[in-house]
Amino acid sequence: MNISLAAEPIFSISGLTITNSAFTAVLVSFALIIIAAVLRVGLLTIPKRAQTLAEMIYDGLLGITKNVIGREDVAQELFPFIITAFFFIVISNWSGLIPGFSSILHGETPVFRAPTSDLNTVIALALCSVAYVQYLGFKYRGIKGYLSTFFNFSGPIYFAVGIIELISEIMRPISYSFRLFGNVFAGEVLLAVIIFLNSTFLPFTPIIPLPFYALELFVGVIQALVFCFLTIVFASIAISDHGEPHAEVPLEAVAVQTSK
Amino acid sequence: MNVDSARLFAMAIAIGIGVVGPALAMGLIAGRGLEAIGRNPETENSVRNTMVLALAFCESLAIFALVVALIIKFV
Repeated sequence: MNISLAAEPIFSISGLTITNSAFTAVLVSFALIIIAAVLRVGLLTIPKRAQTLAEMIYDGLLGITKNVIGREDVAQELFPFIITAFFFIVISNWSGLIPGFSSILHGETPVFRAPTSDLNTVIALALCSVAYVQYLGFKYRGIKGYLSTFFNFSGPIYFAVGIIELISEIMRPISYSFRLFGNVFAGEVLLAVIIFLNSTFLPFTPIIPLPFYALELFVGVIQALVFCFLTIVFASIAISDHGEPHAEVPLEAVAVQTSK
Repeated sequence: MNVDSARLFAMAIAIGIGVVGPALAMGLIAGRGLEAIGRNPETENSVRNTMVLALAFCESLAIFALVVALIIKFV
């Protein structure tokens, strides 16, 4: 078994080292751009299969966003980021599951690696998301209003709550990134271990890793959804200025939406 | 005990203790979810969606422990 926690460099352009996960991230981005361009050019009033699928995902996520945010203008502003992150994360998660994906070698190192199984990519995504939520908070509540969430001098309890909010805000990129990275990386390790155990103790039977493979397909979507959903919820907390700040995740909101 | 065997023990203990809490939480979530569906079968869709999301949140805690274990093992 060859498992590497860090992404491995494959080549460098004038001193800039390109790792295999960064290379794959560029490929995933190009694939997404091409798919989007093809769908855009072939838009029909009566949609075919691919367009129906894309519209279904789009409508579902837009519904969740509007329902949780509760404000049409903010939802429309936030939504492009959400849908982009969702598609990028899903395709990245699934790219590691393509059979033979990590067995194409350049020297000793694999040329491809799922972008989200590298902590760097995931931290970048998490920082984008957190920074965007801060921007929305400043935009919709004003500089003074948003800062009063964290630095509130109207009473000792409010002050303590503000400090706790500040700490949870700082910890947010870490929990975001470890959740996504851990799930994807652990999934790949799980598949590798299962295949290794299978071929060590039995003659290789493809049916044994299959349930785990299905699980990983499912986890890929769920984790992308969790990332997007958390961004939406944190944005809705950041823009709401009434009452005390609360970091509880209103899970009921999404349930009501998705059940419709 | 040399460093390598200490690493193996540390990894096993980290993941072994780390999954206890999330396992408890996931069991509670699934149990309560089924209870809710049993009481009120027409809410099955919304309960299921919420339940899967909550399970994903709890699972990510176990994944944190797994990441720590993997870091101990491979770094």
